[in-house]
Amino acid sequence: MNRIEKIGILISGIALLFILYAYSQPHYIVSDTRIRTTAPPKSHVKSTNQFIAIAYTDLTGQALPTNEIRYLKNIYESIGDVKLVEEMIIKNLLKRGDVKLPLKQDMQTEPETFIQQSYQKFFNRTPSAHEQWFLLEKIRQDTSLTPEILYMAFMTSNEYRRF
Amino acid sequence: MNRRTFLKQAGLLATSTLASPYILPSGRLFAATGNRIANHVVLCLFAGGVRNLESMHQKEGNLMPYTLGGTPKVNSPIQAGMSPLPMPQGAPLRKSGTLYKEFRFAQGPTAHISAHLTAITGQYNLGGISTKQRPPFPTVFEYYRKHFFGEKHALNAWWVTDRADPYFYFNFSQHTSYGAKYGANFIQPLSVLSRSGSGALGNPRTFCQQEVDQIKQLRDFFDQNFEHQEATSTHTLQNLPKDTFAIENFINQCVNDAVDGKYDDPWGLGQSMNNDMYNICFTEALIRNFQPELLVVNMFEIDRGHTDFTLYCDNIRKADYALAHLWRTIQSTPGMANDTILIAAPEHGRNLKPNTLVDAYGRYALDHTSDPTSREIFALVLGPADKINQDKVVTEVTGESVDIVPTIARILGFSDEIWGKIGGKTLEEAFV
Repeated sequence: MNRIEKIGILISGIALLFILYAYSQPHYIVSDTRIRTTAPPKSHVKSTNQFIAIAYTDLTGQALPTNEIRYLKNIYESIGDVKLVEEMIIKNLLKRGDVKLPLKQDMQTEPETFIQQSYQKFFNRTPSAHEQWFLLEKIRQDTSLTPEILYMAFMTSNEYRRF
Repeated sequence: MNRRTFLKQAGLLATSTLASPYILPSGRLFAATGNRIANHVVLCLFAGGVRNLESMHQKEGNLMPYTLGGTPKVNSPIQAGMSPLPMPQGAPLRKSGTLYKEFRFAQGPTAHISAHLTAITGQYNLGGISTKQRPPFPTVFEYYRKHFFGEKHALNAWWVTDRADPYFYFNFSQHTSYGAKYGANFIQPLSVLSRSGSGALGNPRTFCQQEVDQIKQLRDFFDQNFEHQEATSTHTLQNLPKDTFAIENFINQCVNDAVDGKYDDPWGLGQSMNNDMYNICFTEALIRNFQPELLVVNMFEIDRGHTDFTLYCDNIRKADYALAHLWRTIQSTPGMANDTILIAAPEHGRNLKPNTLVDAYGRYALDHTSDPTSREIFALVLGPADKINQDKVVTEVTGESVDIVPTIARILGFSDEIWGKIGGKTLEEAFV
């Protein structure tokens, strides 16, 4: 065995020891995880009449007259894309004179109250800590956000279609 | 392993890899070739129950001059009850295709729902159907959207109906292998264009792009927290976001047009305009906007024949006029002209014997309760001269309602995919 071979064996030995040492240490891997809050179960989809009547009441604080339920039901059943027709109906309800929306100023000065009340009104529950934090950040950071935009998002969400 | 063995095995592996067919989710070995006869099909259900005695055999005179040609003439006892309609100009529809004078709705009850479903699913409904749920068999829309290998989003498939309940169920079935994912867009124009429509949809809050983005971001957050129990996507039709936007704009435009009076008398017919005509008029707007590949539209006013025979005859005339108007619109729409095949047929006929109701002209009304006469209908297949036999009349008993879906499948290039799944055959007599 010449000198070069001895050096080679020495280097290989050191490398092997290093590898063995490295593998003997615990390894921690961070994998991508989606963080989300789990909303409580809601097993029933609102009927056409329920959706229309509840949406109207949520926006005006009043019961929808029977004749208006009838014509809104006609429209609801005349378009096959349910999400689309619901969105169109809500957009039209939002333009009605009898709609009572919170003031933007009130939402910005007391966002916690606004979030609590909105979750109660639209989802019939209190927000989780994560939901509360997320919306609070949104309202604080985005000054262009209005109650109307938030209401539109609540009322066209999947949870709003169920109870 | 020596060199020779290695080369042999490698060669076999490469050959088998190249030769192995691809198994697609649809179960077929290769992707559909997409061989089509035409790129668009419009099925017009000349519905409400039309007897061949009045349509093809002209027992009350020529009630369908726009389709059949000849001089419009109505027999004198009911002539006074006819609405004024313009004289036909140019060639009648039958010159542009093949007319089956003795078509049949051969099985199942001669009821509107059952017969509509037969035309849309290609199956006779012999076991009874519920009017409160979706059809058990896949619809032609689902076959088309699932099996055609190409552009097949919901914007390409439309079901336009004169009435909503229960016809809103017919845009997709409850079949577990098909369903909402492959359904068609459904619309009932008469409600959208009515006072209800303008009241409910005529004054929307419009959001700017920044607001739309804010709403979407917030809604995505809400939906993300709810996704574990959200199953609505399997129960309802969903369009692509850009298509949803286009449909919303189209409906808003139609509602605005109705509010502005543009639908008051769109064809210049005055009091002669009936609901079938409005339905077809809206369908024409839809055709001009979206050029759908598969569109099914129905008419229904002919069903007034249950109580008023003269009105029934008048409404056959109006349906004839509307059908010709629809064909003219198709032929003047870029993208659909000369590339569309239109199939028209009543869903079923009416009884030979009348009921007891007499109209103002002393004529007895007609029901439809599955007697042999109520199974006798006609069918018309119109299309380009190099695809569809022109000016051809099939006078012997040929073709059934269940043949409509296989014929659409052949035109749009997915025949192989539905072979063996439904009864019926292609209406070969019509094709060049």
